[in-house]
Amino acid sequence: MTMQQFILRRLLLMIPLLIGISLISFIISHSLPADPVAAFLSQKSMEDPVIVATFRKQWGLDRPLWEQYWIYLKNLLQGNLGVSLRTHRPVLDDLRQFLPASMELAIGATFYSIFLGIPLGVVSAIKKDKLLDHIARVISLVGVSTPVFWLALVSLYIFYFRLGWLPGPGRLDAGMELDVQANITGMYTIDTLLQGKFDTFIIAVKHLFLPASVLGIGTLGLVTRITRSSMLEVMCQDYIRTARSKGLRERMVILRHALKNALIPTVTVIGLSFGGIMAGTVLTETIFTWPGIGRYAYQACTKLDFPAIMGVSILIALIFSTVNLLVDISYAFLDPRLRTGGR
Amino acid sequence: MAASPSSAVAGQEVVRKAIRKKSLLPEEWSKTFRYIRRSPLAFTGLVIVIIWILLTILAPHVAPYDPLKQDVKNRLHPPSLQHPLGTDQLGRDILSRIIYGGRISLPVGFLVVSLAMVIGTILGALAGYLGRAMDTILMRITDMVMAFPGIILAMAIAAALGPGLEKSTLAIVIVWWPNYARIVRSLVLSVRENEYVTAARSLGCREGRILLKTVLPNCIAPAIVMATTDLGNAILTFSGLSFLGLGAVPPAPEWGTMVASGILVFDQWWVSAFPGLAILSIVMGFNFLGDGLRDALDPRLRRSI
Repeated sequence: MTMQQFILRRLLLMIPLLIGISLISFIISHSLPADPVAAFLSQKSMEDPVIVATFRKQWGLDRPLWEQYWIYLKNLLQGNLGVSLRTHRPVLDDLRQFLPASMELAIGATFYSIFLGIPLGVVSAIKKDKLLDHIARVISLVGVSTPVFWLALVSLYIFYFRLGWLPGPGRLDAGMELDVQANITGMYTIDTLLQGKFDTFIIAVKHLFLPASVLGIGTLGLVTRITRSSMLEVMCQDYIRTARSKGLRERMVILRHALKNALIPTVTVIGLSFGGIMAGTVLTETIFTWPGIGRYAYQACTKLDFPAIMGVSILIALIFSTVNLLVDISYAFLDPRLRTGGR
Repeated sequence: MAASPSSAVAGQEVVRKAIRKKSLLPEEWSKTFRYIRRSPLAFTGLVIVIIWILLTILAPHVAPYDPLKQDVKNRLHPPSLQHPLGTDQLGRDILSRIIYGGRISLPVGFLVVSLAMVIGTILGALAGYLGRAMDTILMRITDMVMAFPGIILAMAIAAALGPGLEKSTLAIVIVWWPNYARIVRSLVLSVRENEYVTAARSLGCREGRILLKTVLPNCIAPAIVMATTDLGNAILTFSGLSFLGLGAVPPAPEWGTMVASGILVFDQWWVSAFPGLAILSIVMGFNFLGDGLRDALDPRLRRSI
């Protein structure tokens, strides 16, 4: 199979996935006892059958179920995700507005877990069963055990409220939001750099630091664990012994020969946990009042705004499958044996 | 002519014994416990879990105060000798609330994992053992649920069902079982190929009996290892839902709800900090223990990790 065929196949496999997700959220949204009408109309207008009927008709709630789903699916294929019951705007517009903030946060969290997790994993593999190794193992297990929402509050309390080292919630200092209105990507750190506003860039990075590191703590633990075990596996290989026996410095052996080969499982884990990070934005964004899709999803859930919930779910699943496709493609660069496409 | 049936019976008895021995594996378990004792991490985990279980069972005898009793005169009292972990906005003793909180989080965790395990085992075993169309259908359904971002699905279900313990538990179970279906299916697929299964079949055992008595017992150990770590994750997810107001309902002393109530009194750090530490410690206990169990039961990992 050539690379193009492989990518095409994976892209085609996303279609049943999307249908599945839309079907599940559709079934749930229509089989549950709660009535979205009750969540949106006041008590008084609920008593008026005419208003209720109009509301149902307006949102298509009066059609048979299969017809509602068919309409939804047809619109979905045309990129129309419906209209949010809460914001009264097309869900696609909402997502377009909120996604960049979440992507910035998720990418920040991923970088954080890579830059801390890989060195930590390498060190604990080299110092196997020494004190440093045990410390790294405890850190990574604590990382995956920490309730994100609690860590967010504690770190805000310490670094913002007590020490004042980092700014509080939000993406920029209060009243600064207008500064980057002419947004290009919607990610403040990139936009400010592109516009050459370095002062604002520094502020945006400071605001990003805390939520991104809180969000990335679980992935940090996973990355450390996987890097360690695959480093240990690689270090027993013959080519490492060869490299050592030809007199290479240990640093060189570890960085150039071992680490490069040990990275494949690490990259896989990073790809797989990206979905978890995107889902984790729900709690992190709610606490840091970060205007992203996680907070949007939470607000949608409390209002039973199912078009919005379906939209967010489909978007996250899409991002998740795309990231994992990219991960699979990146294997080819990490492992030349895979580049030939196998036999 | 007369001797052959009895020798066949004796032969069957030998094979049966062999099957029974293979599937019960008591020596494997005692080896596991010995391993846990020797591994400091797993042992710590076991101790943490046992302490929490004891605290939960003995809550009325251990907790210094009634977890629901309000004492407005002593509200937002910082940690002191009288109230070791301080009091909250309504003057309730936080230590007592945390101890009683185990009575909510631990059962919910066990319930979620055991229900998910039962559902996942049934579906996974059917898919793996029957194969073909059944396998395809069940696994596609599993894939569909797994493709969904779990917390959002749970959040949506919990929001639609309304807050409450049973409802949020149900919401988590709905997103939780596919992992077990996956792992049990792959275990059944590999166990099915073993010779003792062929032996059981050649003895004329019915398929249902083979699945229940021969195949499944050999899949249990890895599933239990997974469940141990998973107990922590279930508690973590449940406390997250409660934190968002979609799980336990106040005034119930639930840890996530307690952390959330501390947001309003940000300056009084103890209101949020200690319940969060409770979650962290129990989840860590299950993770340490699960980690140790995995090392103990997988000899290949025992060497390298």
